[in-house]
Amino acid sequence: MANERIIKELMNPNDLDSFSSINQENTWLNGYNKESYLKLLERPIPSNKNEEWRYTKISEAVNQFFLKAKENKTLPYEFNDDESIDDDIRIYFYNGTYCHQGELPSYINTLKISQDHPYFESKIYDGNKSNDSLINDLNTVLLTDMLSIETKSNQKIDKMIRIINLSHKDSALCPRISVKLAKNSSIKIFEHHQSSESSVLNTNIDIHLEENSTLDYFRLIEKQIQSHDLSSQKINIGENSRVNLFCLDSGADTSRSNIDVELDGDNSAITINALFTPSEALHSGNQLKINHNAKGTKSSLDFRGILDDSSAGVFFGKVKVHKNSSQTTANMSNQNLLLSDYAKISTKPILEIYNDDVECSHSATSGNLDDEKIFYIKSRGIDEESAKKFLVQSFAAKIINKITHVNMRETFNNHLLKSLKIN
Amino acid sequence: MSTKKTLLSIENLDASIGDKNIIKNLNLKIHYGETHAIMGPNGSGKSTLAKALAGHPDCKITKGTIHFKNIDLLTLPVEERSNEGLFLGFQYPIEIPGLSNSVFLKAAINAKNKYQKLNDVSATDFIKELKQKADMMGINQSFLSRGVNEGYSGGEKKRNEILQMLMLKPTLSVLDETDSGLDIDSMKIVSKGINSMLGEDTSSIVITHYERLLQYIKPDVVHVFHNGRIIKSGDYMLARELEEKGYEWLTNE
Repeated sequence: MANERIIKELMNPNDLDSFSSINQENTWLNGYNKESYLKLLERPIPSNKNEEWRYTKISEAVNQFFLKAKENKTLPYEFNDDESIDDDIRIYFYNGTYCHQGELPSYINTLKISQDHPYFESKIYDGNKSNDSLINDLNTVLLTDMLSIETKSNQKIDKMIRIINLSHKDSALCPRISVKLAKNSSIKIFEHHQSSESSVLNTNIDIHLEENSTLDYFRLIEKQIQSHDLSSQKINIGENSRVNLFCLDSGADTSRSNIDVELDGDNSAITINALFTPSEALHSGNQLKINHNAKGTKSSLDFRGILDDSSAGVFFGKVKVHKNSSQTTANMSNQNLLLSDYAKISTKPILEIYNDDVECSHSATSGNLDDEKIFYIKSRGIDEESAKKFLVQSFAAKIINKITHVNMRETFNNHLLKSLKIN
Repeated sequence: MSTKKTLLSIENLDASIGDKNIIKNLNLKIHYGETHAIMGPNGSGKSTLAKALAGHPDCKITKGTIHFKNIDLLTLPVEERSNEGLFLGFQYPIEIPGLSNSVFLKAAINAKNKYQKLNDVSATDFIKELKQKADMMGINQSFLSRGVNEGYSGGEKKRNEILQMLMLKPTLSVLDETDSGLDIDSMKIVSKGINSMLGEDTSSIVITHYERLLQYIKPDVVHVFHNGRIIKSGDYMLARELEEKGYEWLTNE
């Protein structure tokens, strides 16, 4: 589009120079910061006429990102003793740095602590190469630390790894996570974004599975106040490996999650079960691109939106089955419950199939609470507010009940109840 | 008979659904301890009466009064009618996937307890009673943790309605075609459930098309509904007569 504006035009010329000084003490990383910065300035601003960016106020998010980035202050995180209540491994992200208590197991490393710069440089380089996007550029501009989780062959880790983005105020933050599973390994990760205020969070996650591995990844985004929460997840899955992803997003001024999945190995599989529950004037945007690149691959996407007040939700899902990917199974569903006359949803499930030997389905529905169901519940003595709560919960239960991990199911359910105003 | 206390009193009732006036000047009095059967052809207004009693939002009362336990029923919201002891057994019970039967029933019982300023039911008492009554209704224990009516057969849904009734212990049960779609075995089970509720302090209105259910639940009074009002009342023998002759001999009069 000839008349498309670019990011540079959004910005105050006085702000342009303030980013060259990030990571001055770390010259190799600073090189990546600068390179992404220059690339970013020339990027076009996606218009909201563009289907993929509908309702997503991206220019506002970018603007805020640069404003907040200038204000970023560095404060160390103070640990409380009562935080280790269970066996889980906890890693905190605070002001651009990953922190933890005690020693990390050998399969977890952070850039700041590690002396192995080539290891992290190669991860950043590979990540940037495979993910040429606005969100990735934004992430790299402010990149100062990085978390890497990498298993060895046959390593099965039972402990939950919790990555907690702590509450921030007036900050621009760019968490970056790399997850790599070697053959026959398994791991469980819980990424939790606490509620921030007047901040911009821009998360970049690279996930790579070799053969016969399993990753359970739980993602919980609490309600972000006057904030933007952008994230990009690139997932490559090798032969006979599987990723199970659960997401709960309570919305932000702009909440945008881009998930790109490459089912590269034969019989590789992904399951994504997600709830998005924006209220007030918040937004939750979900973009999925799934590529079936090999035989016998499976994808199952189940997204449920619960939208209240004047919130807006977006589901954009594109599943592509390539020519040689025979015996593929792909199911995609997006169901939405609108709790208010002012809530909006835009949904677009797309299947692109270039192979005959496949089993694919896609569906999208949107509706209000069913009056007959409300009447039925009330006729048993239960008041209207509780009746509605039961119905919303029962709508969400279809997703929540798929979480087999008991602690996680409870955690997600509690946050769901907290995020629903009718609680 | 005259010493009997009145539980429900409907006077000069007009009720409409949408623009259509369906119940026309209905009068009906039910005493404590009585079972009334309401029969009548399709479209005669039987289900509308059930809706009017339960307070369905589609059903508008345009004239008349309903008194239940001497309370003006029409001033009560749907949930309070239930908490006062009115139960509607739905003709088409609603499926609520994801809301388990036991969670739903416990919430209903606790809502009633709260309304009557009683404590919450104890978890063990509740589950003990639920299991016992589910057994009585031939409902498998595994159903109790499943979604309300989720994937139930027609007969299972109706038995589940009666289970809810047994747990809520209403003073007046209004059963809207609870027997439709039931096989003989289910009908016996459902009748057993209904009969176990009958006593001096409870009453029921049984809306049905068939005399068969009434063989098991001996009604004290049988009413014939036509054009939104009662055109004939009698004892159980009236139901047998209807079974033989149909409704035409009455509706053509």
